[in-house]
Amino acid sequence: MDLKDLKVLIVDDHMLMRNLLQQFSGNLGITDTAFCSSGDEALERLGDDAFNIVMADLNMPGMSGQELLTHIRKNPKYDRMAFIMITAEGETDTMLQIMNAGATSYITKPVSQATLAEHLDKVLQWLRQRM
Amino acid sequence: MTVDNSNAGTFTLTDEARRDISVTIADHVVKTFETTFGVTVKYIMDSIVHFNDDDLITKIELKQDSTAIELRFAFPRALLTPLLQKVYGPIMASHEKVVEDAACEISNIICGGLKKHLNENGYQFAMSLPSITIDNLKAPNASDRDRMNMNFILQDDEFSVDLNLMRKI
Repeated sequence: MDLKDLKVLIVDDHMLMRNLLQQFSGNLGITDTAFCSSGDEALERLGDDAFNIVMADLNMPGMSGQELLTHIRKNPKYDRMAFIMITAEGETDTMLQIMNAGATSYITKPVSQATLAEHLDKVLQWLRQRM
Repeated sequence: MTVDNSNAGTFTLTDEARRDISVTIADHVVKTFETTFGVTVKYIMDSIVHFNDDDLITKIELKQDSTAIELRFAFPRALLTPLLQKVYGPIMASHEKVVEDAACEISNIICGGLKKHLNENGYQFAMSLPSITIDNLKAPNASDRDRMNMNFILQDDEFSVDLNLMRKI
């Protein structure tokens, strides 16, 4: 498994971040990406497709990124799905809670392509261990 | 997420807090524009504030108990549109929804950085979602101890961050 083999779902209520994450992912070799603008929409979308990674914003209207993570981790069907939480806030305590809730990694905004690449490398190792 | 404010300190805008907030906001503004758009924004110290009628104004609140820090960001559309062309191309970048979305997300990232800084220094603020506001902004009075304003420049365009500390009695 390599970056080019990954299918990624990007969940953020802001168009700017969705587009930047898609561009950065594309530059890093990930061409199969899909967008959702809310946690609820993401849950519906996950039922249809086999995604390897969900990248979700923590602070969204309606279902938050943390609630989305909880839903995903409750479902054994998604045991091999990695979850990257992306947040503008990023206090250490909050991030520890998120990692304890089952996130594979977290990134604090603003997100650069280099930062995303570092996190995707770690996530790729996590995914390989579960193949 | 539930926030327990029982051990949080009371926030006041002392001279030290003003300096601390200025540095934190300036750092996050510069980092956000550099990382997101690859451009260098400069903080203008002691500048006179100019708000334009055409500025796009966003609002976010940090709340802790009866204290609220309201941040308003005033962006000229002429500053944001060229930056968004790099992300969306020339046609989509000028759409109002695209510009508003970007203004809100930039404000969200900067305010998130301030929230993190404050909360890692003894406070327990919760942050609202950003929104567009049509309120007019006025330059703060120098004697207003609960308000501060910061100006930034990108090439020829200036934008500002206005902070207002409010207490509910």
